Amino acid sequence: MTALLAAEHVVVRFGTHRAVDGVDLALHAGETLGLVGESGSGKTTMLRLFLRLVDASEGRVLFAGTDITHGRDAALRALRRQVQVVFQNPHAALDPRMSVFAAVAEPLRLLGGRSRAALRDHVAALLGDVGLGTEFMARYPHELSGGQKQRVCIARALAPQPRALLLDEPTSALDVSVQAQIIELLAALRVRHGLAYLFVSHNLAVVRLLCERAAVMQNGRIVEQGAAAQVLAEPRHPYTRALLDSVLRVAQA
Amino acid sequence: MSLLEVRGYRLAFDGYEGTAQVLNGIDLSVEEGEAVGIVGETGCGKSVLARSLLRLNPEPPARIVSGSIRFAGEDVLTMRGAALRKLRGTGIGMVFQDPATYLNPVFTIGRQLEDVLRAHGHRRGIADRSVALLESVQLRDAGALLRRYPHELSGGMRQRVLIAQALAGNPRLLVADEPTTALDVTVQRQVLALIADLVTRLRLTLLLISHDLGVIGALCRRVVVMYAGTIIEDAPTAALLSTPRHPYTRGLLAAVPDLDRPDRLPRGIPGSIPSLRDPPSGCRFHPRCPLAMPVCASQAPRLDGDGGGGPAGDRRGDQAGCSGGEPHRVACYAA
Repeated sequence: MTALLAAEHVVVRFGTHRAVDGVDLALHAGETLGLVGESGSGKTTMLRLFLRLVDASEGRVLFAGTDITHGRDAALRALRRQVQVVFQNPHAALDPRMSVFAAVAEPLRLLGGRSRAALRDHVAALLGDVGLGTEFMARYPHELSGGQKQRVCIARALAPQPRALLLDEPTSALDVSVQAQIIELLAALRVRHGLAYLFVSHNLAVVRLLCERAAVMQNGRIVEQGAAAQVLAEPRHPYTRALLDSVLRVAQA
Repeated sequence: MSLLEVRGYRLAFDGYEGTAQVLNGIDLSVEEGEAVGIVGETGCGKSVLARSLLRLNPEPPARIVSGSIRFAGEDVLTMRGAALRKLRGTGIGMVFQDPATYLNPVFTIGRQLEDVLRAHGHRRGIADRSVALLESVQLRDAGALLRRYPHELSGGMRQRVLIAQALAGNPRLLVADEPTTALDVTVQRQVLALIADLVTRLRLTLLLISHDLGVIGALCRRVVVMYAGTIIEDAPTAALLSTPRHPYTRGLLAAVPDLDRPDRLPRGIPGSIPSLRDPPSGCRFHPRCPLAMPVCASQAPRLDGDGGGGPAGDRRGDQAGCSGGEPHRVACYAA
């Protein structure tokens, strides 16, 4: 089966630093892949590579079997539509001068071909999909809580009906009670829309909950990958074991 | 006498859009040698409370409405000038969340430690003292480190330098506000181990503020839960984790994803935190509370529970996990 997104022997250099150092990684349609590791391990660079926001210094990046390593404009149009991203900090990801309606409608406008009324209905449906009522349309980011902002970011990402969401620490800026709501939402959306997730996170417990597969990065390399249940419960690599041992458990009865 | 005693402390912030009642009647006692955690979500007032102990909230906009804060018997709220400078650093040392923003990027580590030592009245042997401080936080090659700039240090090293600064005045109480939140898990483990070691070695009293119950559980025997500017539960950590009594605490625990139980999807708490400019009447949690009763909206329950008259209130050592008869107090009529 052709992978939706694939990196083959990819190296990304920033100056002399190899942020990604010979990585092979594939995201298949409909699957959830967690990419974990500490700060500076290269996990966000991998996500940006799949979005073509950074360029590979060596190796190839494939989208649905097509080489997009050096593709420009038209060659990337399908990627831009079918692969969407949700960033870590919802407070910074929304334009403070755009209403919720404008933010969610923007990608739909760029795709074109909708009447004003149809656009409104579509935005309402997208907001409903992420658990926000139509009363939110006229609001601005500063009137929303962190969780509500992240819901708007997810609605915006869903607008072009993507096949995959690349999620860069989508719950890390949120409180636990809100994080739990967003996890529930992401789990439900995935089933509802048959989405693939590339879930970048340093939170192993969240990855364990949401992902079927997990890959562990350290110093730009993938040191272990496999079924999340195996990697995050019976790790083989000493680094994965060290990461797991460092997680502070809240002992509950 | 407790080392720290906060009684009926209310703090408001005056702004153009009205007054926010940020701390709403805080009662908290910390005994010498205790390690107490304060847990709560964004905006619950835990950092404002920590800063209040050192009078670090600028007044205005902050305004002390009522109550008292006593440290080692002295009234913090009436302190000025020299007394306040003595409190800061020699009475209470403070470590903040983001080590990158609390070090000045244009001065060396040595210069910044020197500033702190001079502020505490040291004039001679500053270089030796600086080296000793860096060694006390287990930084290797301390002499060379004095000539380095903050950007040359890792996050974990910077946080160690800030802990060294907080200890420079030999404080009796160390207040650590989210000291490991900006750090990776493996580094977090090391910094927590360092704090635990310092607390034992220097016989420090510790007040640890965190949104993460795992962090608090690693260091503190007692934990205080805050919600919307009020303390809603105060209990031994083991008892709080095994038998949480306040509905908010229960919700908070149910929301934490558990790495060892991937089959259990965490549950969020419906609704969101209230506006502190127009807080709910009575118990501030009642609009989101699954157990809310009419009385909850009209009268705020007290932490000792005597507003409820029922079984709420002091329960000493009658539940599993609660050791040695330490009080488990909750501000809830239904708990």
